[in-house]
This record gives sequence, structure tokens and C-alpha cells, in this order.
Amino acid sequence: MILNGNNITKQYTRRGEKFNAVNNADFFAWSGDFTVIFGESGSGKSTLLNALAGVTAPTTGNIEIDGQPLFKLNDEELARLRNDRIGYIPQNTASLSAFTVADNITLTSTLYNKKIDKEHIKALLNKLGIAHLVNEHPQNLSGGELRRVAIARALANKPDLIIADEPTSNLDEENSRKVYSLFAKLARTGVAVVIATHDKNAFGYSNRIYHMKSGSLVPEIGEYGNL
Amino acid sequence: MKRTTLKIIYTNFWSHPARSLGLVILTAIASATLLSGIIFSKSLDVGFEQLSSRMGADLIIVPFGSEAKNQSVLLQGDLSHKTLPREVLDFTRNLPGVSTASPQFYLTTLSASCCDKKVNIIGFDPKTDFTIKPWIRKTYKKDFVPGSVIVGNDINIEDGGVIKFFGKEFTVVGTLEPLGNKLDQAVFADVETIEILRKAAAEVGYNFISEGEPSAILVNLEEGADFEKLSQTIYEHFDNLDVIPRKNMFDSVIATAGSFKIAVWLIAGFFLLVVIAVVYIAFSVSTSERKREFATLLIIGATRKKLTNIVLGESLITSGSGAVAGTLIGTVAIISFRFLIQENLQIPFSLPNASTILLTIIAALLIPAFAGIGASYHIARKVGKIDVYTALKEDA
Repeated sequence: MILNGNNITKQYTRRGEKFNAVNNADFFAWSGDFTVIFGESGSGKSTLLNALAGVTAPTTGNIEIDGQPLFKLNDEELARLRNDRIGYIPQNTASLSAFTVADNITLTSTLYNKKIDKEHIKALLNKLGIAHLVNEHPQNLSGGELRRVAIARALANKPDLIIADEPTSNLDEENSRKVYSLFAKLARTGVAVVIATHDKNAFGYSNRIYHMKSGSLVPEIGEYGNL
Repeated sequence: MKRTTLKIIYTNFWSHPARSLGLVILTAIASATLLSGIIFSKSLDVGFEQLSSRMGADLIIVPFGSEAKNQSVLLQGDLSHKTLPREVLDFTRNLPGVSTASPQFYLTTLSASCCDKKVNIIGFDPKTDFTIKPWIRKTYKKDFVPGSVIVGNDINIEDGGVIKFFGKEFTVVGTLEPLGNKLDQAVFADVETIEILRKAAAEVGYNFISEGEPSAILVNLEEGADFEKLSQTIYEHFDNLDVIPRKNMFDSVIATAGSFKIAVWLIAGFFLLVVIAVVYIAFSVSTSERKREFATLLIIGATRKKLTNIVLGESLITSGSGAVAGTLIGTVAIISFRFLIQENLQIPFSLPNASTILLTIIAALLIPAFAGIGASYHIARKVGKIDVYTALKEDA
């Protein structure tokens, strides 16, 4: 799997002024990569991840998965690709309040009437320490628990690309370590993991680091450094 | 629609039960009002049409001062018991331009064996009658035999049964189709039977009418006859009577019915507008609260079209169930209260035929349901265009 982005620019208008949240960013990730995009709040990390995950089209530039330009796909094709191949954990994640935790997690499968891999989901829930919450509704969970539900939901469909925006926000040190370990383990099985964070602990698990500043993306450390 | 989409729609519906049920109730009111409005309006038309065809005379001659009363005959079957001199009938028959002139005799009894209420007895001359007979012929095709009567639809005596007036028994030979007014509680008899009845009443001390004096004369004119000139001639020869042209017979009926129709349509239109406004506001609020949920669905692979369908589906369930409930309530209400409506509004009211009622039910189901869906359509489209980044940032 190759995720490749060229000259990605995303322009927004704020108080009548146009500005580039992401400015001419080039990005790529291979199967098995654990990539960290490091940067301060407001540097454009979330905007870039939204584009890489195929949920927000860039103003200019091209994003491809295995040579397939994402934003040339129609609504149905792109939605299906997101469901089949991308596990995206956005920064301010949400869950469907009327559904239980179990229903929220299996939603990725049930959305397309896919068979639910119960063993896989059970293992995920145990690894993330939320197995006891399956019958709860999201409104009864803490921020950290909701974060882990979002991670479990993103991984439920066994995606080959994981994109996570501040995946350990709201998590304590132990749970953060569990999440990074889980991502690293997945990367070793061939999944491409891309996370945006300002938590330097993530560096120890990654093999590629980008630094993002004022919308510009700069590669910082060489490939396969730390895996 | 896929099972998951249905599940999302269903769970969202019940996640805010008060709001959802409020919308259902509102749509139900709109639907019931619309259904009642259409059926009410159609019932007035049918009632008016039935009366109009039954009272299909070009002129009616009635005793002076009973014009208003006569309109209440049209409205409610309330009969005037003043009579006209017999010569009026003979004179009118011989006037140039008169095609037919037929007498009618109105009696009321408080002591019929059939009914709790007073019973109006309407006599007519089968040889000259052109208003009652055609109507009676729909259910009774034989000749009249003295001593036999035809009863209105609300008098529950089977054909062949007996009804007793002033101590004398009369055989019921037919029951009429419903008219939707007090004439459904009337008894119809030919002139010979009326004479038997008059004598029986006189024997027990009730002298309603003098022999052969009609309560009203119904006149049909020849083509091109000048009714104004004809009325003038009658007025010149007789006092104490009124000549009412057909046009004027229904003036107040039409005006009353028209006012009721306008009122009913205004109420139905008002409730439809309320449904549109409230559904729009409710769905704006609801979808705004759930922006992050919609963004999440998009992230995990829902199409934008699916998001639109979820909102439209929720709207369909809300408006649809409201429309079904309202239609049921409206149908039951109008069928149950039709007699009360007749009684209180004093206008001709007769339910339309089954196919019209069925079409009305379909309209009452579809119009409020689609009004609700239409109101939420703009919001559903907006949800389909949601920007994930902005939606997830809001209220985070």
C-alpha cells in the first residue's frame, strides 16, 4: 500500500481573509510505515489528515492510494474506499449517541452489511481495555474511554491505512503506551500508520517523522529509524 | 434502504421521544384536519347536490312568511305547516309557461311508533310529482298503494314492517338512500295515504291541514318561460304566499356552506404550514446537534447520499406515522360525528361515495407526509454537504 500526496494545499477563508491551512505539502507512506506528523496546534496537521483520509478534498494537489487519485472517485467509490481501507481517528471524534459502544464499533462493518469479525473485535476491546463497556452508551463514557472506542471502531474493519489525529489525547500514560504499541504492532503486520501528535513519546514507535509548521510539511528523520 | 440506515433512523427517532412524538402529533393534527376538511367539503357538495336534485323545481310556492322556513326544509328538513288555498294549485297549473305543478303536504307527528323524535311526513302526488318520485324510484319501483309509506334512511323499520301514526297502522314498503339531513327521519306518502293520515289525526283531535290544501307547490317551467312574469301573475291573484325561484332557494345554503368550507380549508392550510415550519425547525436543531455524528458516519465510510437519506428517512417516519395516525383519527371522527355536524351546523351534509373517501384518505396521508419531507429536504441536503473538519471542531 502506498499513500502518496503531492502539492497538497487546503485553503480556508477566515474573517474574509484567505489562508492556506496546508501549503504545498508532499507526503508519502508505505505499508508497514509508522509515520508521525509532529507540530503545534493550528499548524495544519488535522486539515492534512482529513485530506489524506479522503474526507476533505484539498483545494489543489493530488492524493493517491496505490496510484488511485482519491478525489477523482465518486461519492460512493470514495466512501467504500474509506470503509474498506482507511481507519481514521479524527481529533474530536464522536460516536452515535443512540447506539451502544458495541454498535458504534461494529458500525464500520454493518454499514456495508459485512460480516462482523467478533474474535478480532473482542481482541481489540481487550487490548484497549474497554471490553466491559460494550453495552454502555457513549454519553456515559469518559473522554479517554470515548477515545479508545473511536480507535477500536477505526481498527474494526482491519484497514491497511490507519490515520490518527492526536490518538492519545485524553489518555493516561499507560493507555497511550498501549495505543502506540498496538499501532506499532499493526505497522509490523504491513499496515501503514500515520499519526499527528505533539506527544514526543510517539517518536519512539515511528520510522518516519514529519514536522508541520504553519501549513508546511517538512520530513525530519530518515526512513525506518526506530521500528 | 439498508438495515443499518433503518437502525440509525429508528434509534434516532426514539433517542428524543418527546420531540419525535411532538412532530408525529402535529403531523397527525394536520392530516386529520386536512382529511376532515376535504370530507367535510365534499359532504357539503354531496348533501347540496342531493337536495338540489330532490328539490329540482324551478319555482316553489309556499304560504307567506315561510320562505325562511322553506330554506330550513332544504337545510334540515324542518317543515312549515301553513297551507296554501287549493285554487293556487289549479291556477298555477293553467298558467302559460308552466310545465308541471305538483303539490306537497307536510305533517309532523310526535307520536310515531318508530321514533323518539318527531317524524315529518311528506305527502306528494305521484301523478304530477317530479321531485320526490325520481328519488324514491331508486329504491322503490312499484306503484303506491294507499296506506303504504316509504321511510327515510334513519327510520329503522324493515320493508314490510308497520309504522303507527295517530293510532293507525301504515305499511313500510321501502327505505330511501341517506340524504344527510332530517329528511332521513321523514316518512313519504302519496296523496291518498296522506288523506287517510289526515282523517286519522282529525279523529284523535289533531286538525293539521284542511283536505286537499297543499303545504307547498313545486313548479317546473317550460323552456324559455319568464319566471319573473309568472311570479308576478301569481302575486296579482293571491295574497299570503311567496313564490321562490330556484336560484334563491339555495342562496343562503350556498353562502353558509361556502363559509364553512373556507373556514375548514383555512384551518387545514394553517396546520400544514405549521407542520412545514415546525418540521424545518425541529430538523434544523436535531441535525445541528448531531453534526459530529454525521461527520463520524462519513469518516467510517457512509456516502454523503446516505447522510441525506438518514435525515429524509427520519422525516418520513415522523411525518408518515403522523399522517397515518391523523388519517385514522380523522376518518373515525368524521364518520362518528357526522350526525352531530348535521344537527349543529344546519346545512346539508352527506358523506361522499367510497372512492372519494378513499382518494381523500390517500391525499390526507400523502400531503402532510410530503410536506414534512419537503420541509426537511433542504436540511437533508445540507447534512449531505457537511464539512467533516468543521463539524468535528464544533462543540468539541
